[in-house]
Amino acid sequence: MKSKRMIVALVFVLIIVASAVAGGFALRHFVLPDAAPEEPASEQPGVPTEKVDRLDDAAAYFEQNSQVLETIYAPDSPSTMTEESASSELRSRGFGDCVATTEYSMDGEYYEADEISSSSSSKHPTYECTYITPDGDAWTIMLYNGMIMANPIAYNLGQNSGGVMVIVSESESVMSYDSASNCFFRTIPNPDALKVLKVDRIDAATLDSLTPDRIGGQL
Amino acid sequence: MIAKALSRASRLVAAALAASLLALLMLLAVDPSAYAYDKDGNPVVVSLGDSYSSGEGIEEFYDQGMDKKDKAKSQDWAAHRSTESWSGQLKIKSQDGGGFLTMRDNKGENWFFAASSGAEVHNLWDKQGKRITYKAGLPVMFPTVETDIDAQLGIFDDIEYGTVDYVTLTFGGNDVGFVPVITEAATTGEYLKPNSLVDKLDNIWVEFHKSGGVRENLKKGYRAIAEKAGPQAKIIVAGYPKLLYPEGVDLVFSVKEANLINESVTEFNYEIRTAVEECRAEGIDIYFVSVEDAFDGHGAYASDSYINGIETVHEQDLDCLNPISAYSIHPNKKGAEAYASCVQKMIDDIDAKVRAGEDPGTLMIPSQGAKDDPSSRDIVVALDISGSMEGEPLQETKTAAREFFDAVFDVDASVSLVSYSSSAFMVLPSSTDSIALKSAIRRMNAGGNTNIEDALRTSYEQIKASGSDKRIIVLMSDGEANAGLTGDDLIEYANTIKADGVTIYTLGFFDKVSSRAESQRVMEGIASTGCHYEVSDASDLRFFFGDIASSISGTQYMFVRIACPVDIRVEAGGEALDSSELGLSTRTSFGSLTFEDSQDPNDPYGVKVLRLKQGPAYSIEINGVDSGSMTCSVGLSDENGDYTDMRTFNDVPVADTMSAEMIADDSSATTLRVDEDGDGLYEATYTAKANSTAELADSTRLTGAVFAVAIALSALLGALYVWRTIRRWRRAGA
Repeated sequence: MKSKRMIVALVFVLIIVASAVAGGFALRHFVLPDAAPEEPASEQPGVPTEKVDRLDDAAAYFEQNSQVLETIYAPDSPSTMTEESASSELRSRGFGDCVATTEYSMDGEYYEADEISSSSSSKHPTYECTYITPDGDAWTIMLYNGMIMANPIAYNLGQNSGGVMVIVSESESVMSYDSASNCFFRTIPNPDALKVLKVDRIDAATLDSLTPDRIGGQL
Repeated sequence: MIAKALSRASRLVAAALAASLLALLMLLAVDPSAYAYDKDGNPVVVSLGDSYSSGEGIEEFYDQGMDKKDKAKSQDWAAHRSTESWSGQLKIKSQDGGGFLTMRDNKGENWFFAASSGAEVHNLWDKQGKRITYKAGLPVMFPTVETDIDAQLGIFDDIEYGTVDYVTLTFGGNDVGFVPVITEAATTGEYLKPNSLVDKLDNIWVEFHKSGGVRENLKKGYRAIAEKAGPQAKIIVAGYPKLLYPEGVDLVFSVKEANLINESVTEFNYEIRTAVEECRAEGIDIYFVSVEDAFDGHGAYASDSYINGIETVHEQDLDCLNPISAYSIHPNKKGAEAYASCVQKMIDDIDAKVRAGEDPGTLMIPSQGAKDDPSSRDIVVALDISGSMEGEPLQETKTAAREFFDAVFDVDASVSLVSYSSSAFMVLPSSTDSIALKSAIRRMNAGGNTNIEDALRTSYEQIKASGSDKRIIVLMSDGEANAGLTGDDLIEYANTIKADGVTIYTLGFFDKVSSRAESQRVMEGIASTGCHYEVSDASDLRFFFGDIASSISGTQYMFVRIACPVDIRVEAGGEALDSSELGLSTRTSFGSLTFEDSQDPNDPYGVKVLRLKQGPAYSIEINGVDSGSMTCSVGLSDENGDYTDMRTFNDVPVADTMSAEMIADDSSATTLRVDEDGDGLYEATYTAKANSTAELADSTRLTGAVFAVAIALSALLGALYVWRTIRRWRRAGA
């Protein structure tokens, strides 16, 4: 009877210890979305050894200028788009008439900007096109790792007196691409590095209404 | 007898033939320094090139006032040829030297303007297609007109062959695509693509140097112009200005981006200049004019800018749908004036030489050429990229390093590149690929401490086992070592490397250190004898890197190091190095003058170091400015560039009235003659033989003393003789 109680107590203790270990493990590896990365950039899985030094440089830059939400090695990203999907995405947002280009291969090699094909299954880390509103205001539309952003050129070059470039995004974060490490950095920029103007949706209608004056008024 | 006569006759015939041939050749040859002028004795100038020559961005353009549809057909307007272009502002003397002709006042008569915005070198012989899109109608329409600008060399068909005096041009900027690269950088931003600009610039240089690339095309263009213009024409190629003012670009570019762009322009100018020099060596009468100094501090976004920033579309832009105006990053009116002033100076200098009957070709001082030295060299360049190098020092270091690579690749060399701050990093091992080295340089950023030990260790590891004839480390630092070994321990470590036969050059730029004298002592201790160079200004870095490259490539130097309260001056070929405050001059084509702090904190006069190209005899004037004593050493290098002959002068008395002359050459002894009291007579002469300390070889004062004693003795003897004679007379009388 006594030994039976002892066995039960032992099993109970074992269960508590196992639960504690499992709980600790889970807590250690569970990261809330948009939280800071849990490991230094240079230990990023997937990044080849020869690019690690470059990754450190880029990581240092973004740590100094932003809150880094994610660092993603481009070839491992599920969000990079094919030329076909990028064309389709731009078309669906009203930028179908713009000439979209890309200038990097998936291994981070640069080549002179090349017009993309709406039927090509080639993947690239970044796509860009220039959109001109009916009022004649120019925008650069960027699709980096599947994330769309827009640069109000007319505002930034003409009316921006804040000393920091403004980018329009659909969230508070932006996506940067560092070709040296071939990594994407999803970040929330420091206000003195880049200002993000959040809109519900980046499409032609939204940009047509975002005149330089309105952008200035919303910041 | 007959044979002899025949032989003499044949010699006479041969001599006559040779004389006739010579006369014929003289008739055919054209004196390249002569001017042509037109039939009225007025000069003829042709202006070719790209948007920097056409005056893009400076209204008013020729035919600007025409109706949109009509002006689209105008070659002048479609090429955006400005009435304010720099080439139109040039003033050329007439044949009699009595009057000037301003080019823009004589368009189509004496000035032929074919430069065109957007032109590339091939547009010298190919038409340039232009697409003009303008806004019209209601609802708004954007009609497009296509037109062709004639091939630029076609303008010579309108000019009588042999009458062109000058051809001016800027070319190559569109071929490498600088402006699109810059505008793209401005519309993307560093934050979203941190390496985009470096990638684009790297790509430019690959395209530039490849077979059939821009560099080859530039030379092909210069040759084609020379052929069309004739041998009497002087071709003046202007370079490009540094485009951006880094301190003013905060919104559109980062400072890093602005520096990268400016460095690339400097690199581009260097390539244009060397291409010009190569064509000159082929016999083309061609000159390069740099405009970098004239635009210094006046880049785009400076308060007094000579260059437009990135601008949105203007009414006169050819493509109203392009969000960025073609006016962007082009000289404004002040910029055109600066350009005109630089080119005008070259024209005036050429004119003065020609009228004086001198060779204007001497205005082009060629870069260091290849040396006749078959030795192989394994060189490691270790560059300090610590945080204190941020800004101009790093920018100048990068420029200097790029030119260094070009210079040392003239001889058999391979170069490794090490960067160091808190630790050292082998950026590129043992390369003979200057493009790869330059690309690696472009990607260097500043940050961290200064670990010279690790830099030396990493460099030494690279060349320790090299089989090259010469193993060389070039170590550049802007401060005292504050990580790894420091002070005497660091010197001791460097000594072990030197003991293994490695030559170490050090280049110190101690602008920001607290203890300059100590930093100098350590860097001098690290360097092989005579191989420490001191830079007082970041802008001088490239010149001293050039001197090191020149020394490594086989040019022999002597150095003269003088520590005492004196000023020094040395002249050669009309140039002078002068340490006096009024005549301060520290760089010439024959050598340099640098200043180091004295190890004695109470010595305000410091050390003067002359580094002179070995060969000629230099007369060095030394003038005292205070009382004290002079210590001077002279080092002569052998054919390997090692300073194996050291001559020393110790404790030479100095007063503020003292003046002295040292004859420095590579003879068996060096002499120093000293006029101690400024009376114009040398009272002392010191002579130092090879590897010895000077001795007082001759002293006028000693000679004088001996002479005085001799006179006194003679007088005494004379007096004795007179006294004895008188006594003899008296005795005889008695």
